[in-house]
Amino acid sequence: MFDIYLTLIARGLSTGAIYGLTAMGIVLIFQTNNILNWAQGNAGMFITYLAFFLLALQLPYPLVILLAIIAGAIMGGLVEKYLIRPVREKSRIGLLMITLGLAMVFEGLAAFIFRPFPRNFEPLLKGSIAIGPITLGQQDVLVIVLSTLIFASLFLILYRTKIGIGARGIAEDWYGARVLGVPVFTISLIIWSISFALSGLVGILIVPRFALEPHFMLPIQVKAFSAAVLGGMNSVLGAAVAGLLLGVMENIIAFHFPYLQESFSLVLVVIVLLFLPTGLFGKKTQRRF
Amino acid sequence: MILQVKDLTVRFGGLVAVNKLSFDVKPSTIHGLIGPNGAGKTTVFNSIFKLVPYNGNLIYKNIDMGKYPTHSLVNMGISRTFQNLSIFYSMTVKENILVGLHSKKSSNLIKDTLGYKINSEKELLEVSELLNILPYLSVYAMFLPFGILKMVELARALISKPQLILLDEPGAGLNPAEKERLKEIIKRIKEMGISVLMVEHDMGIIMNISDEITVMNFGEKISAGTPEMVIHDLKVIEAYLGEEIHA
Ligand SMILES: Nc1ncnc2c1ncn2[C@@H]1O[C@H](COP(=O)(O)OP(=O)(O)O)[C@@H](O)[C@H]1O
Ligand SMILES: [Mg+2]
Repeated sequence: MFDIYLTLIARGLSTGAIYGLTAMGIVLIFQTNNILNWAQGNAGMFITYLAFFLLALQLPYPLVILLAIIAGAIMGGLVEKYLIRPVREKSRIGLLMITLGLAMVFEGLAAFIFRPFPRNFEPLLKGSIAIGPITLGQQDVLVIVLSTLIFASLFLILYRTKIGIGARGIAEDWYGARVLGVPVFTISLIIWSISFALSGLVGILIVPRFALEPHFMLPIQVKAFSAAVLGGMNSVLGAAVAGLLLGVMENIIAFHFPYLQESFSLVLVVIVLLFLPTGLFGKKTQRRF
Repeated sequence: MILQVKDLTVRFGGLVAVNKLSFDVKPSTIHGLIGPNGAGKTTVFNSIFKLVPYNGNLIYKNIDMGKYPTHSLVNMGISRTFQNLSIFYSMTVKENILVGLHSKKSSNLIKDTLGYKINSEKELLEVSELLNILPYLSVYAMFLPFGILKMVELARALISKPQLILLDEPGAGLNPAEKERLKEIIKRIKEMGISVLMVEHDMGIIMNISDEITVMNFGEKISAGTPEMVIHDLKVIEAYLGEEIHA
């Protein structure tokens, strides 16, 4: 009986890592641009379609993953430069509409270009492995390993590089950072690129669990958003930890009450926010101009 | 002239916050900008940094700054502090100060990307010593008291070795001892050859260390000259009636 829980937890960690990666993208953009990126999930969906056709061209799977990450980075950069930047300092509400609209546009375009019927998408690794009493898909292990590496790199970038420290500055005080010479738009562009690259990677890694169709990322978006809020919306660490917690708890809930799986994350968010209004890791924010 | 303000006008909707304001800042001097609350002093600073749209000309060392974006000013040699503290609270004091070096490029792209630390240790120590914040370099800003954070903000503006620094109420919120030290620091900054344009509420500070003063009221210049001239100007006294004498 206990063994089942170990497996549930391990698989939950893999799901949670996916939520965590997506939540990190949402938090990075929220922190540097002060907007919610509703398109984080669907950007990944769109890139996954591109990957599907690249795979159909018999390109090697790892190369396709790499290309998808690059495509995500380019897409993120274009979105920042041509959709976000012109509005960034002018209209907060406009920005909100842009990312929501973008999410719909990705979905519509995918349905229009690729047709909306579900397609089967093979994972990179198909087998499963047993670690002691735990049985885990190889792809799940891959997800956990990759997300650990990505988290570590993001952390190094944010805390050890000039770009990262600049990004943290922007997150706390956009104008203050600008005045100090931080090229806020360039750094913002890099952040969008990183976020969309993450989104593309997430799409490819997770799509084999579902089927490829225009809204397969919706549950990921909702849960990643929940994780981001639970994590306090202000740190990639909070997003990662909350994502993992959510993944594990959800997996255990789903084992006992399958019908509650989808609504669980939102219920949890509401309950946590009732007691901890700034999330599990949030802190009160300062304000100045 | 290090800075020439010519016919500066700033409108917010129907409000004329700055109205045809002109004055010059001479090199290596301390220039005070004073006036009652809401006179438009901070708006002058915000215009110089392109944070608000303006009409008129802002000329820095014979260059019209009209087309230079906010984040390029540091490289031109201009920096500032804010009236309301602008601090990165989740960073250490050291990281805060190093952000002030962001636009300084090192010769090596990889070194440049990998952080400020490699080239900047000496500057960091110099400026921290001047501002008495050496003991706090590795402390997170959120744990430090206001008086020290004011010095951190000043350090951040100084580390880029500006030629012109704009201080918006550097003394606000400081206790008398801290204000005395601030006076000495600003005089040192001037001795380093840096020109200072300073808005300050505390008359003790402004009258004591300014070389020249421009007085504003309702967006307009109402008086200018040396501290002695300004403080005896009837228009200035009138503008301050009802307020305790402060800038
Ligand atoms: N961004 C802004 N939008 C609208 N009104 C502003 C803005 N900034 C300043 N003001 C107004 O302009 C006037 C001058 O403000 P300010 O320059 O801050 O005065 P001071 O620094 O001399 O106290 C005030 O009436 C203030 O309310
Ligand atoms: Mg002011």
